[in-house]
Amino acid sequence: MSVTLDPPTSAGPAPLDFDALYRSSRDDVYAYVVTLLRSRSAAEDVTAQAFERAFRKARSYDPGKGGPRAWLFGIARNAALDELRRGKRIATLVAEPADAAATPDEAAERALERAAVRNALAGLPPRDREIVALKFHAGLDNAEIAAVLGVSASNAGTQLHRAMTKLRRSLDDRS
Amino acid sequence: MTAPDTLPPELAELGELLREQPPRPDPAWARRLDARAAAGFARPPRRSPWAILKAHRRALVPVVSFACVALLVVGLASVDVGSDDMGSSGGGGGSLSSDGASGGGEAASRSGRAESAGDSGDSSVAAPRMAPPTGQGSPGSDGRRTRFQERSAALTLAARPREIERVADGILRVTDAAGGFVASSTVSGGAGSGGSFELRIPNARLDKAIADLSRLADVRERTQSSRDITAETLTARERLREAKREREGLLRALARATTLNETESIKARLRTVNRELAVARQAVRRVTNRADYASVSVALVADRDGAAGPAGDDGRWTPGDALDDSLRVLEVAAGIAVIVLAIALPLALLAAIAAGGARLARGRRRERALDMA
Repeated sequence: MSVTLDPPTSAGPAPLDFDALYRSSRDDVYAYVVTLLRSRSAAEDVTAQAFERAFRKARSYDPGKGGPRAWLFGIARNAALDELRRGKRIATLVAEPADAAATPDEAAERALERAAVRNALAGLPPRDREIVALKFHAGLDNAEIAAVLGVSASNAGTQLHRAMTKLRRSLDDRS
Repeated sequence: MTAPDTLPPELAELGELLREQPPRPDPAWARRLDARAAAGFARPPRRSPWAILKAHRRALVPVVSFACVALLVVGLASVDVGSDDMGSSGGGGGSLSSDGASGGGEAASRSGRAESAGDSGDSSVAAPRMAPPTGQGSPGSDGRRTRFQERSAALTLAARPREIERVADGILRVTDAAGGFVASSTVSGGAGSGGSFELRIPNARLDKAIADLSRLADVRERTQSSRDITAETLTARERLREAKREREGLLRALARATTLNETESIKARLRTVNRELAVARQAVRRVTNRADYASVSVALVADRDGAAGPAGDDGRWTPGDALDDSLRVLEVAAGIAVIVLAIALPLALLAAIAAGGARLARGRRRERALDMA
């Protein structure tokens, strides 16, 4: 997934191409938010709210502080945490439904593995779910994750490793 | 130095599984969001302030009524205060003090010429006849029908250095026009230009003269005072009468004297009485002058900001005036800017601290919400 920005000019920082950012990030933001909140309806509202906030604040985007995706996910994170603070519509979704029924054997086995991983992920603490979702659902690299969480890139890498280790253990415990 | 994005193989495999099929939104919702994004996340139209007022017009009636009444009361109060100010100051921001039984300068200014002092033989002993001041006791309260007032005034006028001479001339003109005279004056030019004038103005024309002087330049200070000198005047007159009576008695005795010794003795006494008579006449003249003429001290100071009044202004607005005015405008603007900065900077600093604190607190609340989820 790529982000298209207008070519930078010598006059100043590149302006934000919001349309391109929206097209490339809509599903990723949703995936991150729903993993964090575990509620489809809440994730839909928060995702829409995040894009609206980003649209209104597009002029305040500063390329010097990170890429547009990191900026957008930062906004989405704040919106999601505000939703968490309000304490509504949380934890109604345990995991995505398994998609094994209509697939051949090998694919079905892979689908079951995916479902097991998603279930294990849903059982992790919010901070672990969040960093896993940022990495594997949103597709951010460690530097972008660090910018979203407000930590250093190495700290983000360490947190991600810990979260994945917990996920591995959780899967092993379930099997 | 950043940590590598790679994970150990067993964890990377989990990542691949997560990447393969991330949660996807409902297509219908996605279409709705696409439409909103295409429309620029349009907000519902805002109601105009007029529409909001119209919706709440019933609630606004008492509020508007109260505001109108309050404005009316404040307006009437300010008009009342304004008229009180005008009445008490006499205009021009001057101060007026009164000493003695008189009601002040206005009553004193109505003083007429002196009534006969009961001594028709001495026409020089004329004193101002004072109308009884209203509301300040009556002349008869101490058995006297008339009162005598000594009035004085002091003015400080400020004019631009190049206007000093013109204003000084104006002071002399006003004094002449009022029938007064200049007791003493000094006018200096140059860097420390200015002047001082001791004027004597007939009491009856004092108020007009003060008003005329005030129009010559910017009035920085104005004080007027009056003092009751009735007792002093009557005492001087009484001494004069006594001296005259004694002189007449001595003259009669001299006419009756029969011996040389008696004659010489009366003549010697007569010489003494004549000297006393001259002193008494002088005293009466002095006190009469004090009652007839007000003493006016005018200090003329040079001030770059002093504006000549309309009476003495030649009406021309020169480039020098324009430069002075421009500098003054710049000075005032700079002063206002400094005051605004002095108020705004601390407020902005406080607002920035408050905003930073609020942001920090909000961030912490969010992180806490994540931990507690």
